Amino acid sequence: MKAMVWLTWRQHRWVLLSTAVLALIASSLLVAVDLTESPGRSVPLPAFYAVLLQTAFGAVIGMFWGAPLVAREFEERTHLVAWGQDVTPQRWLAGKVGVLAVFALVLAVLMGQGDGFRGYQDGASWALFEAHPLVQAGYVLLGLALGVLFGLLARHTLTAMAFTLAAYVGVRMLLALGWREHYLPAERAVAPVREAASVPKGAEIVASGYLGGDGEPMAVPDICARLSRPAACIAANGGTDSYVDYQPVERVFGFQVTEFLVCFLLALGLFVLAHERIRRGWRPSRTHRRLA
Amino acid sequence: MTVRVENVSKWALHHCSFELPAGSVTALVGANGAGKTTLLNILAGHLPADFGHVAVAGRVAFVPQDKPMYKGFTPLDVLKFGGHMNKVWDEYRAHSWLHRYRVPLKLRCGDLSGGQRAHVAFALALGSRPDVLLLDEPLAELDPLARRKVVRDLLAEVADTGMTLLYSTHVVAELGGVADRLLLLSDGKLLVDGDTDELLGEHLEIVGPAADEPPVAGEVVLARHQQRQSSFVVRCPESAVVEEPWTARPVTLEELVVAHLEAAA
Repeated sequence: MKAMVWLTWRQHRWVLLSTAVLALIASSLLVAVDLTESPGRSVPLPAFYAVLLQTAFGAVIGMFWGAPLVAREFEERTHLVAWGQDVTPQRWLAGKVGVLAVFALVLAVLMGQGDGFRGYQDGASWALFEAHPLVQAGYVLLGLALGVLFGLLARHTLTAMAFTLAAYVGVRMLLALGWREHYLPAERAVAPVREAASVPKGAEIVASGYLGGDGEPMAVPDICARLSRPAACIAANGGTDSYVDYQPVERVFGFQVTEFLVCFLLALGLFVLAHERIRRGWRPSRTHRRLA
Repeated sequence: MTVRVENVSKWALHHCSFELPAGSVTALVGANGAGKTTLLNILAGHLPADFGHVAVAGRVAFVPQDKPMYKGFTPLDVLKFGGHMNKVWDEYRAHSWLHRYRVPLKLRCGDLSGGQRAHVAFALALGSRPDVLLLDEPLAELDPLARRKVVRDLLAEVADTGMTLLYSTHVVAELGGVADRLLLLSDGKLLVDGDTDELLGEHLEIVGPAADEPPVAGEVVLARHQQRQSSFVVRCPESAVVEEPWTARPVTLEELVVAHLEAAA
């Protein structure tokens, strides 16, 4: 273990240090803005860049830490050096990924401290879902695992970085646009068809529409969809209630934990794939089957 | 035996089998593309064989032909790397190799000359005290003077530690007096596998009047015919007697290798 800590630090110290400096600057900006006196819905420009880095932090880790990890060894052919010693390739991979993951987690917790809005935001909010240490921790693990696996498959740093970015953005979009609102079944608020259902403050609206006589959501008829106030038309076509499906704001923390677990499990799966790939590709060179 | 290769096939290699005794020095000779590097990579564990079985007793160190090394590491870092990454590490042995060849210890490996980088790779391999040392074209980057010195020092290391050395080369002229075993690869097939002294004793060059057959019984490796004269390189028992008008003389290792390669081409 000590060997892999030494080697990881010796090989990656500059990229680790520069990422750490960047993360420190961004994180302190976010927190400083958070602590200013006048609350408001505006994001000052420096904090805007910090928010950009916060949004992209997992991708940064994946592209600049994960992707080159194995790909550069192949490019420089130093994998023949790294995997020709008593430390087996599997332990080499596990050690390096382990050390980098711990380092990345520390930075992720830093990056998840502030949200960039002026004034301290009291309590949780769906809009700031990703500005949380736990969520950031999940994202860096996901980015790192994607980078390592693509580096091992592509054996070329730039290709691996491109694939990592694409896959990472894809997964984040899937999480944000599709999966996240379904971690738990949504609550439903129902009101008579001519009134709007009232939703608790801060809730995230998942879906809305009208219920038919059977209590199930109904398709809005074309003739009603064209109207600016379709309620009367809907009622005439058999609609009895209007409804809104929402996730209450109290669920934010539980969903953040779920998001972390989803990313963590994805990352773990990707790492196991990389580990298996390296195990089947390289027999540990110094533990050959002994001759009788 | 420390190395056993049974019926191994991979890419250019076809069904190679041989064994290397402990403490032996074996030269792996063949033309470009004959499969030398593939064979060494399989032995080092970096390539799985498609077919067949490889077994090595003990720890292996492999120095590839291009001597890859972390460019940002200084030779001192490389020694630290070796110490961290190996269960057995002989710092003195590695250090004295670098010292002997005056490798600057505090320059980055990327700034070293090709020969100096080769010495860093040798030092790392020797420092790990391998039971089997595999070198792919070890002398390629070195000047003629350094080549002799390196060969002498490597042989001293072998004698000192009892390790098994297998190195590939296509510089046939430098074989004499170094290797005690010879493996000759051509087009992925093992043409010759044996003790160099025995091989030299078995091979004769016989020159005489034009004839289709040499005057002794044995395997004709190579036959050359001119108008009035035929010459044969023959592999025959050492007891074979050659009579007038034929003349026989022993071949050098270089001639032996060239004859086999020429016949296979």
